[in-house]
Amino acid sequence: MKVRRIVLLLLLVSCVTILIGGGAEKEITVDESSFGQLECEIIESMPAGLTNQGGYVFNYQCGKGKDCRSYGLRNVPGTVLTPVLWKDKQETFLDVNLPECPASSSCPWIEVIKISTRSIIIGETTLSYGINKDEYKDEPDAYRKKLEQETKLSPFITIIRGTVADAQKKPIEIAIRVSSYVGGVKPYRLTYEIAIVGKSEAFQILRPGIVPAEPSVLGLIWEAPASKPFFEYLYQMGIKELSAKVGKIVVDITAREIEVEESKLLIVVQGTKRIAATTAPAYRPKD
Amino acid sequence: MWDYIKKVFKLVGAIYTFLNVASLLGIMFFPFKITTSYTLRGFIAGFSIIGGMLGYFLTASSWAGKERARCLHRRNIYLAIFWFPLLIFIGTLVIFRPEVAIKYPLVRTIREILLTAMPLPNFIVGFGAGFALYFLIGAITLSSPELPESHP
Repeated sequence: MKVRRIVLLLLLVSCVTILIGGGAEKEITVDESSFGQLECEIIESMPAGLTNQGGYVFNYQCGKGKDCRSYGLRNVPGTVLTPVLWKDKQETFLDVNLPECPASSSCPWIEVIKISTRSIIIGETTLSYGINKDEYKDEPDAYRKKLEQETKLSPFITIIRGTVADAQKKPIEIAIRVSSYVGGVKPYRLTYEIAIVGKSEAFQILRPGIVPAEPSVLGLIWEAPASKPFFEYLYQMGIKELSAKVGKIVVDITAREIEVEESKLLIVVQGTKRIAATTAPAYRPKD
Repeated sequence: MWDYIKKVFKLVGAIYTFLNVASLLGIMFFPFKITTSYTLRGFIAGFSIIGGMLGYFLTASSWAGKERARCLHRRNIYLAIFWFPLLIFIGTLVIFRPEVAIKYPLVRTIREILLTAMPLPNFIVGFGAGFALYFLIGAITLSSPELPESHP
């Protein structure tokens, strides 16, 4: 009889615990499901747009796939160097100079792919271009991430690839993928991957605010994971650059507490000039 | 400060002060038709106001009570110099136009150099506007017949 009472009491206590737990903030879990997705197969896209203000004419395109979005820009034939900034309130999709595209030639795209499990919504974005990237403005609808509290520590993957104008106004090809994964729970294991994913120039991996040693060399700054342990790992491993020879860099660090840096940029610089940028979120140790 | 402003206003006279304000507004707002960049408009407006104020107050303070012939001679010099910064200021804005750059390869090259040197062109345009207004307002101030007769 006494044993039955104890069992009933234990059952009651566990029911109450479950009920209270269900009402409280959801526990954050590590999401293993999307670890394999490194590309974005477009299943739906917005109609391709064409800007035409003040003599600036270029195409923009936005698409979405499973847990991913893509944004692309390209000049049309017979147009000059065009500074463009495409963003919404939370993210910078593309911040580049589109290279001049002579008449009767095909103009290459510059494309950004953002892979994460965030819900995708259609909403207004700002496409500004011209001098200071604020001379003319269009507000096209595009796929955006929904502002919501994440309950899973799903990976963040950002790809930027295509042709942009370098500091000497010449077209150069870049193709970079940056990924941020989380494994384990307290301590968390943070894994960062920086990889070349196509025809691309070589890059020096730089801390934010640092410029490449030579003005002609391209530098890559990923602001979101730029923590002390991140650069200590690179230093200990002797990793300085990403090239055709060293096509992939993997950084592994551990942390008791972590946070998400959502709005920081992935920036390609040449000397002191920024030649391409896009938002690239990542997990990082909480200070 | 207020006394100093009133003193300078008296030195120059109401009509010439009005002409100065009109020139400032004209030079400041005319380029707003050429560029819609808010950053560049900000630079133009900021430097124009600084250049115009310096032109008004410095010229009035330095030339009050001097011979009219000397004032007019200096006015002619100011008017001659005025065109150079104005040319740099308006020229840079025109160079930025894509339709001009498409037609002329040299303009295209200069435009590309300027665009990749941002924010330097903002300062070039700003200084151009500022200096143009300094010399124009200086010249208008020196034209005032009340200025040589004033005794600061």
